[in-house]
Amino acid sequence: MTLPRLRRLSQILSFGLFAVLLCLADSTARAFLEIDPLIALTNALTTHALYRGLLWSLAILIPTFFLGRFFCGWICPLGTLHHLVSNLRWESKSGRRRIESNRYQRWQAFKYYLLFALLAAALCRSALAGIFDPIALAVRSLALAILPALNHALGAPLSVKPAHFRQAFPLGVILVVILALNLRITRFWCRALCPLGALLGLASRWSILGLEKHAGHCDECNRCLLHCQGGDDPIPGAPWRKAECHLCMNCVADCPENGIRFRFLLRPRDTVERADLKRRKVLAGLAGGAAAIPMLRANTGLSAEPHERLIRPPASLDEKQFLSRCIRCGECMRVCPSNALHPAVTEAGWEGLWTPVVVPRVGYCEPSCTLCGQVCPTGAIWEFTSKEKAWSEPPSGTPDARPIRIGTAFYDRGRCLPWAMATDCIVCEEWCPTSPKAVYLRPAEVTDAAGNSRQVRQPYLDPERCVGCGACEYACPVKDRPAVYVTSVGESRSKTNQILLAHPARPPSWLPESDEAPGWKKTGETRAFEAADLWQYVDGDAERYLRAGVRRTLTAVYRHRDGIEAVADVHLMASPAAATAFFESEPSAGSRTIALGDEGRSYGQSVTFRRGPFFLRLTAYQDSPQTEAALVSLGRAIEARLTLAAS
Amino acid sequence: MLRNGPKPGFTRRDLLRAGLAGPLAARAAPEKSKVVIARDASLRGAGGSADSGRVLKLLDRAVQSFYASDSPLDAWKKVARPGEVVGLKVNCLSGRGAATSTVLVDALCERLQQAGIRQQDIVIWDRLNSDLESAGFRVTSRKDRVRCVGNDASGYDTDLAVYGSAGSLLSNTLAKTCDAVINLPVLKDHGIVGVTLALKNLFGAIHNPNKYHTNAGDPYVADVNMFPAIRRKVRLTICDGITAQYEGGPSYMPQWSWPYNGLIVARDPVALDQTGWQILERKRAEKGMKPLRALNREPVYIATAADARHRLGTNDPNLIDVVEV
Repeated sequence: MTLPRLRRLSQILSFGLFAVLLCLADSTARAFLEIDPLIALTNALTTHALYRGLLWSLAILIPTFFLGRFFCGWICPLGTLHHLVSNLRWESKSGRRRIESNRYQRWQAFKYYLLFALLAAALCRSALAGIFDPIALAVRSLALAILPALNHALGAPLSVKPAHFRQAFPLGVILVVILALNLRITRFWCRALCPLGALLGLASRWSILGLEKHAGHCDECNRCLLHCQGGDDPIPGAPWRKAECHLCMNCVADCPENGIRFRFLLRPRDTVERADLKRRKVLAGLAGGAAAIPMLRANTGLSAEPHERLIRPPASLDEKQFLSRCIRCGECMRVCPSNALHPAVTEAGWEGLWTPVVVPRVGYCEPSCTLCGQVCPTGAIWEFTSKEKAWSEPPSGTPDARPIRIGTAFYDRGRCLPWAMATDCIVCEEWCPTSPKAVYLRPAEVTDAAGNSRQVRQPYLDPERCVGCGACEYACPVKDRPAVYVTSVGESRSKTNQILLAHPARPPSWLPESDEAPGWKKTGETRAFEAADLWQYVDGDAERYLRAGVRRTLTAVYRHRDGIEAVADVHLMASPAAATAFFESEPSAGSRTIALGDEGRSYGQSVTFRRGPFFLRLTAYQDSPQTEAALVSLGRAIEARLTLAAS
Repeated sequence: MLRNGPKPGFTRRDLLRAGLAGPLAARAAPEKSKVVIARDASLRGAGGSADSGRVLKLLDRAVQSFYASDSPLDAWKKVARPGEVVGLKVNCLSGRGAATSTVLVDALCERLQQAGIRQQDIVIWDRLNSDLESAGFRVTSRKDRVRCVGNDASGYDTDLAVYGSAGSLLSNTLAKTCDAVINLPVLKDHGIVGVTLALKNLFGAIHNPNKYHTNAGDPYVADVNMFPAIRRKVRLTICDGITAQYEGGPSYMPQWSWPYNGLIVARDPVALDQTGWQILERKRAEKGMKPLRALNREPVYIATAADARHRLGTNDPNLIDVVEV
């Protein structure tokens, strides 16, 4: 098999593997990005470390020191696409013009200056290199623009709900334009713009694989230039430019006189080993990259004005760290099962262009999904587990463990159906995936357009429980601008982008322990219920308390030495007036007034009383002559606890 | 030409008449729903708690009367066959005071086993393990004894059941484990939907009962009972009226409870609810309390359950055959 055929086979296999990985949604999908030396170098410069699999890039970089830019000619999937388009016959690149265009041009050195600019940006902690990196560009363009477009065009055979992405059109156009440039100049991108090609070109300076030309065999047919991919001047009479050669081997195969061949040479002749660099331009490139980052950051994004819709995927790093790692490859957006992640436009400032943001109106973050963290090649989104995410189950580990939060939902009461239009709607509460739910409903009397009074349940949000998944915004039936929306405030990754809320304290100790009340033993743990989940305690009865403005309920079971078992419920109401109203709403027939709290009643087998904003009920399971006295003594112990808590 | 011969014994007219008579007769006299109320004034022992022996006898009396059987075992054999898994849907939300009596459930388990149901094929269930425990049941999922498990432990089916205004996930115990269900509500008042009896007790089979309390539970209670698994599997309702509650429910309020000392048995949940509701209304009137209608919590869902769309049973007193034994 000839070397070009071998190279072609390698390109086909490599591109096939790339295409397969483009369809996978697990950690193997990031393989091509992990072997990319430019991504590894950028990551090392921005973070002063290498993220997990990026060491694999040495598998490309080390052979390059010996063999030259074999990656560009044999492996690079974007290079293969360019190669394919370059081979198309086109009028502007035929005959003599084709040969002329395949001579080395000074502008081919531009990619080196671009590389230096990007490395300088990396030193300023910005991973802008990802915008130009060929693998990231290929994944981004194909996964976010070309494949979704094909899917739409073919009637969505690849999925039930075809994905679509913001920025898909410009991303697609960019790929089409750089591919179309091949019709004018073979592999224009690889020759002039590719920073990875430039990096590998610089590394190939020490390559021992050289081109040996036999000028005596040459009849100047120029066929060696006809299919040259790198524009590296394989013709005799001109020095071969090692840093530009893609090792496509076309020149060797095309030479009718067998006057060209590759050999391992320590001191090759007629070879320019270094890239064609001008010191001033290198400095200009470095200065440009170093200057660009502060200028980009002077815009919004990293400044003191975070965009409200800059909702990053779960487990994303702090914004500064995030931008220093994110290479905009689009892998996270590609694998997101609910199409929630999209390339940012302006949310993260110019520096954050095409970095991932959650757009809840299009899709919400699935509670158990961890795919974005699995496929991220650079650690901008840390690999996390669904237990750490803890959206549908309580966070495990330390008592202070909290779920990963990406934002907080807010209600637009002017648009919310129960708030603004006296219409029942519980969609947001139904969709809320947290447990207990962050969205809770409270019954309210409202007046409809006809003046009729009716009861609806109005939604509220507990910001302590909300994780910002966006399910409520996604499902909100107010279709154009939703009545509930998520903003980034409260996100776990930021210390400053927070609502100033005190963390919920442990359940207050309103209920006495064993023997605090004479003869009473506490036989179980105190159970605490917030208003939103009071129904878990007394479904059906909860509404009565909710209407009265209950905030929290604590309950515990006690046993008296006389064998009496009792349940003590302490309800914290919205105010003392609410507690009074609730106390008075209960029928007093058959009761007698007792001196307990601010006002108390005994029904014999049960006692109710109020104290300040608290309403208390003590219920015994046994009726005996001692029951009432025992309940009152338990009530007094609780009252003492409440007095202590108030002080 | 006229026929002069003798008329045949069964003419064409006779045939038509006979063909029409059957359906018309059925239309004229629809089948009544039988509701058996069994009471025992001496049900309680010295400590005020129900005596297990008398509860067993009361249960036998009620079920025998309902199935018109000569022996209690014959009656139970009509409820479930050996090999079937029988779920006992108790009501434990309010703790021991207003929950399905453990004495009644023990009696029921005993009789089911005698009727050939293996003990491991009997499942006592409700919403939460903690509810079951607070009502005095011992939660266990061991396969060599009567199981007792909350929906929070058994989980919910992944298929959404939808009817009318209700959309819910059914508990795995109902949807997957059980072949038959005996519904064991408690005779008690409900602060929102009026009364909580046979129909309302099935709220304990779904994952989102808190959604369905607006508008006094109408039409949600009826809609939930239309879920196919509920309609298909609930074979009998035995309403626990050993201790009943006429106000302040569903939470336990001893001051509004009274020893009714009875059981109400029916296969028609609507008829049972209608009957139980009237019992509670009579007690309220006796205690000088306003009727539920005056408090805007008349259980209108009972009528909805009987309407042409639902046809879960009848709420027409004329079509309910109340048998007191």
